[in-house]
Amino acid sequence: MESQTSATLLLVDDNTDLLNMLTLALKTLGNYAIERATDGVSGLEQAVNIRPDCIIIDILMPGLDGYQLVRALRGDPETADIPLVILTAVAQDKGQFSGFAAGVDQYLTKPASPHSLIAAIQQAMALNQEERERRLRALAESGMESTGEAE
Amino acid sequence: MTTPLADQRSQRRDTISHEYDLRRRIRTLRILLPLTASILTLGGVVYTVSIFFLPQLMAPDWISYVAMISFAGLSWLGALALWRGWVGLATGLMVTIGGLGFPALVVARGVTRGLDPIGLVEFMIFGLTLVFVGMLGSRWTIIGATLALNALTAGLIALSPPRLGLEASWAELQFILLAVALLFEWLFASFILAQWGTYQHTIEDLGTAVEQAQQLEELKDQFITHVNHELRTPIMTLDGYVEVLHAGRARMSEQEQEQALAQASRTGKVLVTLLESILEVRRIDETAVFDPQIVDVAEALEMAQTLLDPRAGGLVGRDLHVDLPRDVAVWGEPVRVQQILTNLLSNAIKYSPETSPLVVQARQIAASSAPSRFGAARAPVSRPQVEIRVRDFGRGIPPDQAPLLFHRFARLPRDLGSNIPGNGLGLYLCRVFAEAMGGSIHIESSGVPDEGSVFVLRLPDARPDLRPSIERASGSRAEEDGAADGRLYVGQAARHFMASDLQGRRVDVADYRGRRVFLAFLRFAGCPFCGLRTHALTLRYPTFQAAGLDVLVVIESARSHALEQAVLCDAPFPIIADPTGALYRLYGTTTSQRGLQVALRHRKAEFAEAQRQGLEGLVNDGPAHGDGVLDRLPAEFLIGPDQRIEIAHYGKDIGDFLPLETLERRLQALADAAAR
Repeated sequence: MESQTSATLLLVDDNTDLLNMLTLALKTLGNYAIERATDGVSGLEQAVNIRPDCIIIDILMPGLDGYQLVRALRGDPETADIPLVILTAVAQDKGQFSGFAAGVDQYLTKPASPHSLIAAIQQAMALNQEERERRLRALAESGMESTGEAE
Repeated sequence: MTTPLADQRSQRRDTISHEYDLRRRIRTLRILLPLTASILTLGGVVYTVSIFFLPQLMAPDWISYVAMISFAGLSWLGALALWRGWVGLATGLMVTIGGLGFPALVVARGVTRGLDPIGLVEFMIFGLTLVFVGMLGSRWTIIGATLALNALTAGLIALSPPRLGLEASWAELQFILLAVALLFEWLFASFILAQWGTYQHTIEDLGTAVEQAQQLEELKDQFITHVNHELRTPIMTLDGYVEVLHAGRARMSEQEQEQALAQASRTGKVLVTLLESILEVRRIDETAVFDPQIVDVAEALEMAQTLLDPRAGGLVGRDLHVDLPRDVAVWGEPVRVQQILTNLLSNAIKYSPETSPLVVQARQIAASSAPSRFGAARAPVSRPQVEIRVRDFGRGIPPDQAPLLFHRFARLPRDLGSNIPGNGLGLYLCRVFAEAMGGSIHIESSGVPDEGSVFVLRLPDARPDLRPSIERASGSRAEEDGAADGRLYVGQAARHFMASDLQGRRVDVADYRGRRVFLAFLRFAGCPFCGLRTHALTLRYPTFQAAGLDVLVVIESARSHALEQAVLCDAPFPIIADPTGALYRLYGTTTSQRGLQVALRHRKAEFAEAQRQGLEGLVNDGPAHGDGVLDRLPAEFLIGPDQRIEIAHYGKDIGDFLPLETLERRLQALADAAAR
């Protein structure tokens, strides 16, 4: 019954209840292979080791927080082009802005349904490196306004 | 001990006071400057007319003339400056005119001409402006200005040469003139000072009120942010499971489905718990009334352990060292004591490594070993208490952040981002419960990891030998009150109180302050509910003794204070509370805003006085008087078969003020008197 997995995802979130749910949902509904980490540091380690196709990151975590993790990933050429999705309970526009500024591809606010998360993951993975760079440039030029261009 | 937070708050209060003070100055100047300018202009016009057109009226006085014209000009300039918003310049001009110009003028005139009618008029204007100038500053400026004015007055009167025809009685005249002048000057100054004092208090109260409002606002924001954050993750989890089960059931094994359902239901429970905590906080805020009992600490601890949340790991794999003295017991509410202990244990488990031990110790602390109320930052202990220490070996808590933890929704910054579940309410509830039971709670922690932290809970000691042991006559009424344990509670017994008990006896209704009208009504018409009439109106308790009363009836809100006073001054008559509350209901409460302010000031004075006398504590009847500083403790006594005394403190136990033995002796004496 287990078919070919479509991609490997790394989930970084400190809430294990949520991780359990996401693991099940993404496996079942998206047919993804799932790796998990419960804090920023182990998230970074795993990202380097397993090179997932996409990483889903929470912001508020002990130790290395979500933004720091995103910057660390983007700063390392090895991991710079892994699509990143932020999934956070911090519901503020400026959070979204700094998320994009740090180089995130998609930004979702909790609570988000598994289907919307899968859609975000797919969109993030569809962005290629060039587009990503173009978007960062546009963001740098136009400031806050470009946060609206997430779609 | 001041925390940075407290500093910040007092700074904010100062800013508010400063702002309002500036506004006051502007308002004062707005009245003062145009008024001065108009009067001086008018004077200038009159002067000009008299000098140039009616020279026969009086000899021209050029010094005064030039001074008046230039002062008028300066005043208008000041008014203009104020209108443009240059408050500093306007104040400066006002001070120049009133503080420098007029004195110089008066001195110049006094020296050249002595006292004459015009000089006196100028002199008065000078005096007024000097005090007005004082109003721009503070209390001390007003006093300083008045003193300067006194000195000038005295100098002028002393130096002025005798007027023609009055040489003989000149010295006497000078003396009278000086006395009258000084009297008026101080009269005027005290009027302004009184205004200033009222104003100052208003500003302070305003600052406190604004600060409280801001604090409330902050708490509300914190609450919303926190609840927002805490709710999002479990909601998403629950929602996610539902969606997976809905959309992906076909692809899930039976076991997976079962797990998903179990997890979803667990998440639901997490949400319910969170909501309950929030509701509990609300409930606590609404009522904090407890029915105190003797609580066995060992039992409460055992119960607390069984109620630990298994999700937090429970005590599995932990060494729990318990070290309790035999029969250690506290006054409190069993469920609350257990809740506090559960909270403390579950915190200790959550915030320390999985295999590290936990230690619970208890010891009795005597009143004498306690720090003075006034010196201690927290946890004043002035009666015997039991100290329960819950120790863990976790990361510890930075000392500067420790007090913050007992606030609502407060969590350490490092925990906010951690995976340790918590909603910032547990310790807040612990504090509220502990304080409601007359105890306290604080943290001892160096903040060094692995040294852990100690949560210190203190509750009133209920050892058998400390329990009130006044001999009580066993009457039928007492038995009705369920006094099976041999202890009687007046709160229950007094419900049987009947006004008829009092008929034909001289009674007084004690009230703390105010409400004379109602008391007078009681005196002449009697209470419409119970027919009680009073025979004396005494508002100060030491006078009870002199009143020759048979009985003292004490109205609800005043009774603890009244009883304290009555006991302290060896009241030679029985004291009965108004148990039906009829009197109390009839005339309401004292908690008007104004009443609170007065009470607050009153309390401050009491504290200062107690501190001056080196006392360890102060009898106080709590929140009704707006301080909320002291805790609520029970102390209920029944004396004699028919006479009852209720010491229902809203504040500290009377034992804090009086040695317990003395109190008991006095109550015993009262009981004996009643039995006779």
